[in-house]
Amino acid sequence: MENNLNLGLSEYRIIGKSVPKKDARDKVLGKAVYAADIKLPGMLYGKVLRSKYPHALIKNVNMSKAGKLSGVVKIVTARDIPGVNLIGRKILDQPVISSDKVKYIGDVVALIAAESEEVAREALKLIEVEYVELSPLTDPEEALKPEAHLIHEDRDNNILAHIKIRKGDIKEALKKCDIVIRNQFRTPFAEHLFLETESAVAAMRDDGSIDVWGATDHPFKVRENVARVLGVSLNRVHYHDTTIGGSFGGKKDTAFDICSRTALLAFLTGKPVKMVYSREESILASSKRHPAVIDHTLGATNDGNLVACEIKITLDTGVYASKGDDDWGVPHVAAIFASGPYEIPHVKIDSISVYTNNPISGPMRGFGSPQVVFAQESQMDELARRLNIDPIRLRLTNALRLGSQTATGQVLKHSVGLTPTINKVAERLKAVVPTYPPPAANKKRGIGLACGWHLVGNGGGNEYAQALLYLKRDGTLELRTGLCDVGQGAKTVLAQIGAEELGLPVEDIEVPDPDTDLDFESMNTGASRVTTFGGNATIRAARAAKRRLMELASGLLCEPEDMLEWKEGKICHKSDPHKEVSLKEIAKKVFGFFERSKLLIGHGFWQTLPTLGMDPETGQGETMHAYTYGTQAAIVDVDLDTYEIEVLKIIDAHDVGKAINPVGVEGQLQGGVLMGLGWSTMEEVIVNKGYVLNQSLTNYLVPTAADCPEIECIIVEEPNEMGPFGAKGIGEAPVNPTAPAIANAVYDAIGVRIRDLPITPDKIWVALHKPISDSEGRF
Amino acid sequence: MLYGAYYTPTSLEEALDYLSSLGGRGWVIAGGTDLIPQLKDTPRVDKVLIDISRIPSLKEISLVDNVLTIGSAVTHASLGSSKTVWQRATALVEAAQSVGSTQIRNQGTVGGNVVSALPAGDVAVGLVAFAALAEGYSIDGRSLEEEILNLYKGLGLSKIDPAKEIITQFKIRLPTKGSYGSSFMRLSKRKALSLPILNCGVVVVLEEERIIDCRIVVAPVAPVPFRARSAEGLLIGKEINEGLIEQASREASVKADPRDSIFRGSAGYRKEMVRVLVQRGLTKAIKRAKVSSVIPVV
Repeated sequence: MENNLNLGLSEYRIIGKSVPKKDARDKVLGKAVYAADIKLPGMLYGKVLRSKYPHALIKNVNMSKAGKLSGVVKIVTARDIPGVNLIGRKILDQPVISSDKVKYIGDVVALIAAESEEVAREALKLIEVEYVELSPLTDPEEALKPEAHLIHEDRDNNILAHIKIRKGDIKEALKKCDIVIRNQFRTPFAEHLFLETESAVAAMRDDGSIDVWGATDHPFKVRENVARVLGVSLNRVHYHDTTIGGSFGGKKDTAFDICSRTALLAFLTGKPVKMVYSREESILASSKRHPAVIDHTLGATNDGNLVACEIKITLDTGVYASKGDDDWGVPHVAAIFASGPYEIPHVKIDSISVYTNNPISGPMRGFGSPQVVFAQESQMDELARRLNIDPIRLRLTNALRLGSQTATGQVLKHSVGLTPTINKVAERLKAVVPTYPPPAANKKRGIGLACGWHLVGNGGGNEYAQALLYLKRDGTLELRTGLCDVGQGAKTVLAQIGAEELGLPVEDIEVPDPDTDLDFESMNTGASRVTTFGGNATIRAARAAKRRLMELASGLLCEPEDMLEWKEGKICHKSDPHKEVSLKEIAKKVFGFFERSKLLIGHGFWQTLPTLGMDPETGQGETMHAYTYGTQAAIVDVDLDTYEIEVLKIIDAHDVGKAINPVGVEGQLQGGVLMGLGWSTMEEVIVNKGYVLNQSLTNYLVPTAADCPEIECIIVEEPNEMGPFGAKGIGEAPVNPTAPAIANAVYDAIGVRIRDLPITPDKIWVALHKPISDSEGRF
Repeated sequence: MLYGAYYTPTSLEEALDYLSSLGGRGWVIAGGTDLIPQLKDTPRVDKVLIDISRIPSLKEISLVDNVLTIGSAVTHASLGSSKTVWQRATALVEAAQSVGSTQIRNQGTVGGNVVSALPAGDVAVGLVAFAALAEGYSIDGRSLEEEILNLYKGLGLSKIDPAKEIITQFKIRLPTKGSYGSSFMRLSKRKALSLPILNCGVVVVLEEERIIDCRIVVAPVAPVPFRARSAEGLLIGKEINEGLIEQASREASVKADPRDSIFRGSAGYRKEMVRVLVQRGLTKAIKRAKVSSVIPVV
């Protein structure tokens, strides 16, 4: 992990300048092509038949009526699968089609390919499935009991992962604290709600290999899953990513699922097949943010020094593993960030993910952090109030800074910008609060603060990315990293980094969507890792490209390389101003009349040190090469009659190391805050006894434009010594502090602390009154 | 296909002719904002949709001799931007503006809101507060005239048969004695495009400081919009004072019977909110009544 370039430079040509997103124009004009837009001659339409019950034995599937419907081409059940009937990221435990048992309400019993979508839909109704209903396990606490049934029979119990952090002596330390605060917090299932629902198209080639078009943030894993299901080698699957209509971490599992199913239908029929999930299906099929129950104990001295923190996190991982596993999965990240961005000498954390018959929980923006940050920052606020210390001062007192030791014992050596984010938010609060007119007579105003921190990369050692740079015939470049633009602006940022390094305009670097035939694997797009990992790989590819181009120029100009220098996209002779050659001229000479469309001129590879990692028993170790830090403040008015919460403003300051594209960073901050606001105040996938009750947007509410408060974004730059131009990731971090900032503001306004998200007027009312019993009302 | 065929008559007679010739297979559609989603769930290829939204006479709003007439195919958007309605029946404008989203308001109609018979249709609740009369025709030539509240048969069920009957307009006889004001209040989980936790329409008629007539409607606290008659009774004939409003609001809350709803909220909260909304609604309507006496008849 050598340091990257130019950290000392304050001014760059392109880095730090706001540029429009590369994909924005096409999206606005409706020209962007999504998987669902693809039409192939003779294409069939695929549909899936989902379970009727959250847990049941499948006794019989009768397809005879459906098979007779005109236009039905193929009905597929588990026994038709040529390869392995399992999909997943690391732990393979999700069947493509359930064979003898359904384990959650979204499980699939049969697939249909038909000549039209209508016929396929009609045929679904004609498939008769005999079930024997079983009682579902839907409460993680229940699932932990020894008598609970096993969700996956090949495991010893329902615990998917148990991550531990042990630092200091928690028992003794808690005894010595002047004050100890214990509380339980709960957070709900949340939906990613990407605008584009799952879609895929698959078609066989004459040579028996298969093309698959889809939308994922992990193309190589899609290829791997499709190949396994079809029972073919990896190189027989050509996966092409199309424009991705949002992911938020969700288009992994659900892309494995739809791409495998669509490929299977194409493979078995020999015809092109398209499958598009409806919103209702998408809510069943896609993974959710893990619901968490967090038992949190925080101990401190009377003057506000944090001494001890004991946290038990129980995550409902749902029916399939997704990233609830113990290999840098959600429970891992929840544990690492649970005690907050503070220096605490004694920490004990247990983070457990538990299988249930509920929908799949998986990676979602924040990846375990939003849940634990909500608990930690609510506790910090309570501590400040109990000790009568200013919440800002309490945080400044304990904030991680250079040289601090984290809960995992990592000593922070660079890029710790928490304190400046606290100070900047405090400063802006002071300036902004007086500018608001006083609240109406029936309202009370409150101000809440919360800090947060987040990962930059998946964590652990040997995490890598790579980049390829090609020279094209017109002298422009093509950059391929295998990383995806899920709307976060990856294409733009990577092009900026390449362009800065090579002295080219951003427009001269094209960044196509990933394609497993053309890209090298760079691991997943997620974990706020693309800017840093992809950026570092891009810098290395650009440096290699410079060397290669220099070599070519030397040949063309008949001058030795040491007489040439690189100047803004041209190679010039050091002393003879007439001797120079541009990229365009190099391309022209290189390609000549040949139809070679592009020439590989640089490959870059970057990976983290193999020493990063955590001890499995104590959790001690260096987890990441850098962290992102942030602070948010919420200004809210609470109606004293209806308990409606109006969020007037959120001030968000985040330390991003270096903002490569400031307008893009602001977009991430605004979007993260808004997503956090939805999760804090209205979002919840309601799962009752394994059934999803709000499967459509009528009842799954997210904020509308009318609900969006003013969001003020402040960018703090504490350079990441290992990031490209000092940058760190920012995709996820801003979602984390919003819920506790709002919860703390509500407490500030009316003295009610809600520890169970979402914070609704109803819950505030219940906290203040004794509710009437169910039997009293009828309608 | 979601339906068998789609006809677009341009006159009431034509529409009634279609219905009668289809012998029960016809189905009146106006804005379709409730019907189309229903058809998406359960396609009805046996049905022929008769679109009444292009019949000019059903799209008019008029005020003649203190009678406000609103065509059944008037959209929420046009009701919500009518100056006449704002001056004469403010609550209806407020109700129309709080329906769904811009797209739904542009498409959905007043008649549809009533015939869908959802317990908390915003505009329907406003119309009930004004004791609006629904008028229309049946294919057998019979003309219909019924107070809106009487058209509700149950949850989502209207007495109007869309295969045989067409509602043409709603008539509101505006108070001629004293001054009056109205208000519409709504509580929902977000600021746009969401089901109401509760809504409330209030009309108050004043003579000086005395309430001479009053209607309070709250929904959804019953299968149909709920008239808080006992609360109205407490107010009628009395001089306005804050205590009285408070007392009437409590009475409305006591008589309302909301249930625990996963999506709308707990029974306890909603029952309490009936009090808050009625109190706010009454206060606003009374305030408006006090200034409305100056509006001349247009």
